[in-house]
Amino acid sequence: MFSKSKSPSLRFLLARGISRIDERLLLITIAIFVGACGGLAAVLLNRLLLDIQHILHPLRTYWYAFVLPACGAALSSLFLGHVVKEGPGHGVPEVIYSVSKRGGLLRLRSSFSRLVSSALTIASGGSAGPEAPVVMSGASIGSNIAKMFNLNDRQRVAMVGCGAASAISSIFNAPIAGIVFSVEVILGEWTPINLIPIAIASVIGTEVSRLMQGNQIPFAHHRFHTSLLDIVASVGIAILAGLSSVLFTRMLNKTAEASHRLVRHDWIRAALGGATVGFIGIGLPVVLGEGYDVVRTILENQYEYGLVLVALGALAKIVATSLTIGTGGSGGIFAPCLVIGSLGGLAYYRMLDFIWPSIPWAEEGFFAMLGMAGVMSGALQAPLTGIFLIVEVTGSYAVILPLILVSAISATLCHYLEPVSFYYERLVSRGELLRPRTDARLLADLSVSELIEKDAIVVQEDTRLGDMIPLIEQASRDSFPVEDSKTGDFLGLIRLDDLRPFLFNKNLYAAIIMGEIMDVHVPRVSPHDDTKAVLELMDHTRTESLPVVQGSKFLGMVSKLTILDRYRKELIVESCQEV
Amino acid sequence: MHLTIEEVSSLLNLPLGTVQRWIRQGKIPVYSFEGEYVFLEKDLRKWAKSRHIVLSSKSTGTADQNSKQKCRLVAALQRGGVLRGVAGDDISSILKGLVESAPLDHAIDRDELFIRLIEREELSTTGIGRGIAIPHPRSPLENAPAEPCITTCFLDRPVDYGAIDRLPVFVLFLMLSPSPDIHLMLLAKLSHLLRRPSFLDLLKSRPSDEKLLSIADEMETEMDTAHRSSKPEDVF
Repeated sequence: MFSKSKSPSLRFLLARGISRIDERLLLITIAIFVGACGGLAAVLLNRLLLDIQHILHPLRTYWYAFVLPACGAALSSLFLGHVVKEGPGHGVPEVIYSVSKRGGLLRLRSSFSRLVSSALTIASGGSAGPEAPVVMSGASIGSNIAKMFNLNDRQRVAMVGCGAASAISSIFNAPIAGIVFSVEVILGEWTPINLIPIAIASVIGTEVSRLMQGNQIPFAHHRFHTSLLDIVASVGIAILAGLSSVLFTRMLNKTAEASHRLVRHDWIRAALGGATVGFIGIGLPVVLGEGYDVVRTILENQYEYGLVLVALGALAKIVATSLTIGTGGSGGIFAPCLVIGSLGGLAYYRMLDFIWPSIPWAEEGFFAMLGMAGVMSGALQAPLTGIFLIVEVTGSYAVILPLILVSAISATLCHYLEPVSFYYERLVSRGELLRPRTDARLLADLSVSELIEKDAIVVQEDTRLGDMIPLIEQASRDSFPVEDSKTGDFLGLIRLDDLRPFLFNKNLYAAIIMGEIMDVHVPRVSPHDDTKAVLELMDHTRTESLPVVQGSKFLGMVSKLTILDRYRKELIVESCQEV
Repeated sequence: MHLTIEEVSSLLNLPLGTVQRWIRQGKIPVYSFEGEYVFLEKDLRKWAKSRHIVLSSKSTGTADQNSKQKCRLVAALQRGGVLRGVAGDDISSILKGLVESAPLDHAIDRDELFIRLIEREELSTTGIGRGIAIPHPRSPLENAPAEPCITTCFLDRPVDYGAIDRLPVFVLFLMLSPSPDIHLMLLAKLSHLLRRPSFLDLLKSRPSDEKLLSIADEMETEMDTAHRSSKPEDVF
């Protein structure tokens, strides 16, 4: 070891020098790289989508155009399943899973795989958004850059957050939405240590996008003229948006379940889903692709269709998106949320106008915008993301009050009807959503093998009570595991309480052997058990300590006292800033 | 000052696995150098202090060793020496003879010790039965030496000592300890030995000083190392 050498080597000084750079400074520096790369990934996907759509555009007029989404979805599924060997889906749950359980580790190939697969799905007409794939890509870039710099789990998670934030910021030209999305949906915690790098990455990501694509608001529109009555009416759109979000979430989950039951092959399932979307697209072309053109037209008050067609379009978009994503196509729900929201908002406006034609309502674009915020906040159950994204992509800070109202009501309504959002649904059902500083997080960190106490005195089954006296004298615990004297297998447990009635009766010292009075039914814990399950077992059996047994061999004891002590220490060190 | 991961895990009183996980998760300040983890004591102390984590002082391990060494029964027996031929017919005369001829430290006031011993006997007998007595003052003497000592004293004629089992006493162990915890530790060890039939037989045979010490040494070592594997012999 170096400590023995007279002077520390130059390399050690250098290594120490690097690690002594203030952690915040280090993270901010790395965040700049991550932000630039995440921003580039978003620009790349955007260009890819435009180019493929441009090439495929002439084919749209033919009668067999419905085959296009089928081919795209099938190719995308084949690419994910066989070329890069990754699971289907849009990526956000995978990123959250990695943040929860794997310290932010993501594969390098994830940085491009979803870009390719989602480009195939969306450009061919599949109803999905490019944002989730870009989030996955940015997150994976962040994770792998962190790995390159040998960062620890906590720092790597912050870099994953940076990647996700820069991706969203870049694709929407919306830096605040990027920060808020990353913190609210991906990381689930605000701390100064991760918030600042995320903000920096967001700024860099947005700047990259502005340099390459120009600085423009994605859904620009003219100023809305609103009155108090419009704000009252916005409660209605909030409820409508909330209900649509619930319908959307349930439809997504149900389609995934049903299609997996019906068709076994991944790519055939994706192709069938794509073909169905193609058919719907013949009648209602509004459902095809990511649908930003539709949103743009609606916000400019130029969408001509009437109430029935618009409402039908919103419903069709929900069905088509469920079919695209549920069957294994690649893409996210961000863009569909915006389309559904704007169509829903427009339908609501048409209805208001039909019922009270004499009232001078605000423009249809205003209600479309509130609808977008409502569906976004509801489906993601992330009201802040909904509010900031809509403000930034529409450049309409002037209407922030009804926007906040709608987002809050819609998110609350959704949470009430569907407690778990689409992103977390699979994670929560498997108990894999572990937010920082929660009970589940702390217990998941503490494994039974770390809690095991090895100082119990083991006795043999033929040990007599008299022989126990000196052992009790020596012991620091009041449980004595009993082993088979020949095989060494664990047989049962003796607790001091079991011995107490006989302890002072010397006549029984030779008469009682441990094999007779041990508790053979004592619940056994395996070193691989979850600490949460162990605690539940203790509560059920009303015991304070349980034996840990692997195979048939006794390893040690695990006790509530130790768990409490370690739990507290975990909680203390979880707080990453100095107090 | 550099610390290894093993040292840190013992300082924190946590298993190695937990410290390794904390390093991986970035919950503890550490430097990585040539694939090894190195802790700087200064940083670690600052980290622990800001989180109110107690680092059990590194020297506890050695202090424990020291007190164990201090409390070695055999060492105390050796220091106290063995007396033979102390005569007397009652507690008072025997204790008088014992205090006068025991090889005690110069600092000890023998008259004071005698008075304290008698006081203790009046409180309740130290004759613990089977012919054995363990006279000792109720609290440590003011100028007791830092090292405990136990003087073994074989009597020529067994004497009625008012022992709990009324049996006459033939051997006394005069215990002088610097502190109550050392006294308790020695008392526990001595009574453990005395409960063994084999040791009692040895005492009855009035062994030579060397034999007594060597067998006591053997039994104490066995007692210290005795844990899961030991099959203890029969006790009363």
